[in-house]
Amino acid sequence: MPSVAHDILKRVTRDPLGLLGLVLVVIVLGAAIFADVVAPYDPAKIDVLHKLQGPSAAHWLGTDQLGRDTLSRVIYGARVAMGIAVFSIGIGAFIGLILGILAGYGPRWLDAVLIFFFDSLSAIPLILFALTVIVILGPGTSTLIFVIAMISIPVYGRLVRAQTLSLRRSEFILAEQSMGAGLARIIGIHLLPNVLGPLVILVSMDIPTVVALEAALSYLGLGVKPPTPSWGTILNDGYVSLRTNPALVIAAGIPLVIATLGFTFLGEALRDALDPKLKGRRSS
Amino acid sequence: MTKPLLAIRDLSIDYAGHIQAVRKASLDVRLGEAVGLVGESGSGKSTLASAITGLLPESARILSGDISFNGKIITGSDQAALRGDEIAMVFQDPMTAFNPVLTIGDQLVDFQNRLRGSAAEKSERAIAMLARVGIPDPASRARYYPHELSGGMRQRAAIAAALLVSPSLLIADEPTTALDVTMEAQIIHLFRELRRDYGGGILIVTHHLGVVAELCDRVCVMYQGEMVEEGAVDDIFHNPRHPYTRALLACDPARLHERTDYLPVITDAERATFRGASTR
Amino acid sequence: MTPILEAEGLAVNFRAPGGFLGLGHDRLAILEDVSLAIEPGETLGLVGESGSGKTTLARALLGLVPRAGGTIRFEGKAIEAVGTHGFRHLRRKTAMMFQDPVGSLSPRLAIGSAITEPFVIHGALMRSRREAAEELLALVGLPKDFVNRYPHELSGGQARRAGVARALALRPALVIADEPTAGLDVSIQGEILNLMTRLKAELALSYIIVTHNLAMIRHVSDRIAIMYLGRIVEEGPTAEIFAAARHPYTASLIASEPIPDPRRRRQSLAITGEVPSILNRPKGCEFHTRCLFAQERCRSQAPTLTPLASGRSVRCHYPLN
Repeated sequence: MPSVAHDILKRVTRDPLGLLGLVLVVIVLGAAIFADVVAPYDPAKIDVLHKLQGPSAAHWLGTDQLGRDTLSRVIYGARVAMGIAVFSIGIGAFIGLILGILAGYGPRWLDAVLIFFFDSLSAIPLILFALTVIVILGPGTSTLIFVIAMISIPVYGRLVRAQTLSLRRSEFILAEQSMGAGLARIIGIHLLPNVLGPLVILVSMDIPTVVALEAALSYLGLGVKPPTPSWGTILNDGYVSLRTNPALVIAAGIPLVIATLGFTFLGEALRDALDPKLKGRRSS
Repeated sequence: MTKPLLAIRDLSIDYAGHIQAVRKASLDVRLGEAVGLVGESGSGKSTLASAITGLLPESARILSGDISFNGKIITGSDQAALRGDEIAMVFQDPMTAFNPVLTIGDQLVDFQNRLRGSAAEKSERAIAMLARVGIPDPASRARYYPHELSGGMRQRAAIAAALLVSPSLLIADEPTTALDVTMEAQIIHLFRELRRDYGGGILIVTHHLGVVAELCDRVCVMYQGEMVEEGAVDDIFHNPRHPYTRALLACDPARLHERTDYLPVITDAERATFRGASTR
Repeated sequence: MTPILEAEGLAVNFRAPGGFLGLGHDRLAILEDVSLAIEPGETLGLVGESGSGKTTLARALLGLVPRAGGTIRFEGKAIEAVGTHGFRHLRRKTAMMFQDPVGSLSPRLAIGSAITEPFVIHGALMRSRREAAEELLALVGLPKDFVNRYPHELSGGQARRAGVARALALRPALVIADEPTAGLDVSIQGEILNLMTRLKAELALSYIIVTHNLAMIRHVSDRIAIMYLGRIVEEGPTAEIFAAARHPYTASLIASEPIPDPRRRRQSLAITGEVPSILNRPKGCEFHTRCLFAQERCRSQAPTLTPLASGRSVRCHYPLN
């Protein structure tokens, strides 16, 4: 397995955009993980005396309307963005994977029930769903994770189901059955690796979407609760003082762009790297 | 000797500078003549056929040599003008010859877009040609979609489509390979019947020696990009001169009269003798 | 001698989906009343065109598709439902080579792992997996370093050899090969078939070869069974059938094959028309719509598979010769 990961890494970095994407993603993830170490100030530390200052030596990106250091808030914002993205997509993809395999490989009636479930879930308009859940559970990070996970289940579920359905009839699955392989072996060793590829790619492309979604919802006040720093809330705060101190808007906008570009480039490079058929091209 | 309809001279083609698919190949097809282009995978025969119609993939380059059609050199020029008009092709997979969302009849009318006549006239010609290729009840079959026809019917329709434009050259690329034995026999029979009325030249590209023996007047044998032998069909089958031709004929189980336990193969040692052994 | 594998009255249906939640279905017969037996050390050819049901029969014999009727006996013992002990024994002692040599190999599994799958599945690994893989590769004439290659990196011929290696991993008694030469150049076909013949002698195997290639099967099989629309229409020793076919379909198949000799061109068509759709099976003898010798009885009464002399049988009211 390690050699497979190494091989994929090599192929991703061979592509210039893939390498760029990887670098950007590492920066964003690094900020998220090492926020405590990297951020110069406590993001919640209020210092009204120094509010709405422009960039300076002490505050590289200036301060917001409560005098909090913008740079620290942006760095911690990465943690919020990544955390929400990873958890919500992780849960959605995990449940989608299981349901997709059940739908694709299981009996027809189960497939029909699950399709019905997927269709119902995607029929609900996102904002309506989000608002309803927020009213019931109250706003905040966990609510956001729940909402995003729920709406992504049908997306991943359908993808995995389609992959499973097409693979189920392939000759190599039949070959494994003819050798006497049990269900667990077929699903675990032969089905799953071929299903994970497209799923991983979709996941990596969805991360920027979720980050933007979180920012949008937080901007609307439906996302994380203050004082938790989110790029969306920073954008919101910055909007008010756009004319006098554009630093806030820029400070929140740039990491969003970086994260989006990084994950998109990485996702595309991953798609090429994970295609086993492209592996042979260079060697033969 | 009449001037050839199609003349290929010393054509060399490679893919992205690495693999030389065709090496200095020469080939003639005359009006009224059926030529078989025989070879196994990697022989370059399909590449050569694609070059004639200008349908080579992006990565392929013609390094040297010429293709002339009707006396005019066409390599390097826009062969699209000739396609579907003077030169028509029948492919191995009849499914890919047709647009899946249009009926056969509509497509056959569409293929005649360079010919004169009203839509009604073109439709009649299409139905007449479908009848000519042996499709029963052609008027109603014309309203079928490609997937609604069986493989054999589709291939007949593809042949009809090719002949509709009265091409001077018909190129058939593995026309029976995807078909069952009984349907293959019917398509071979159809080709033979059509030749009586069709005065143009036919080039049949195939690895199936039986098809070549049944239909062709002359045969060209290719091996790894080179044209290794060329001659009248009887000479090739009964008096082959190139070691590859002999080995290829020896390997065909249909040519073995006695049952054998172990079939003849071509050894690596034999293969080493093929390249460079010229008969031209 | 007990036949290695015996089938009697085998029937397989296809359930076309329909109805509420996909639960309703139309039943179409794919295989009807199929009986055959393979003796140890024998190669049986299953010959037919597309729609004949030969691939379905091969799969049904190994229990890979559910059967609607009939019995299957392996080494004399009846094979019942999936998951029984008898079934697992069948899986160990039989193997299948699939039509698509590259597609029948798990795309993300290296060849070395793919061909040793049977060992792992049945818990029969005696030495290291790599050693077992190298030994199998040597058996089929592939280089040792193919252990690390992936299916898409193999040529058609190499992938076929890998398929042979995998089939022989547990030294089965019976191997079913589905179109072993499809897609291969004529000069390579001989290599694969010769490999199979040599291994048959070395490892005391029996084969069932499913194919539409008459020229090939004439040389490599001891007996053949010709199939049409899901039924066996003729069966018997290969040499005899090719010398004098009794069923009109067999005769027209043999007569349809193009001969690679320009001095022996076929002047007329042996058979016209197409195989009828299974949705619309002809009444009586199902071949009567295309048979040159069809008579009144053929149109209304279906013939049964009648045994003739010397181990032959034919399903026809008026067999030839």
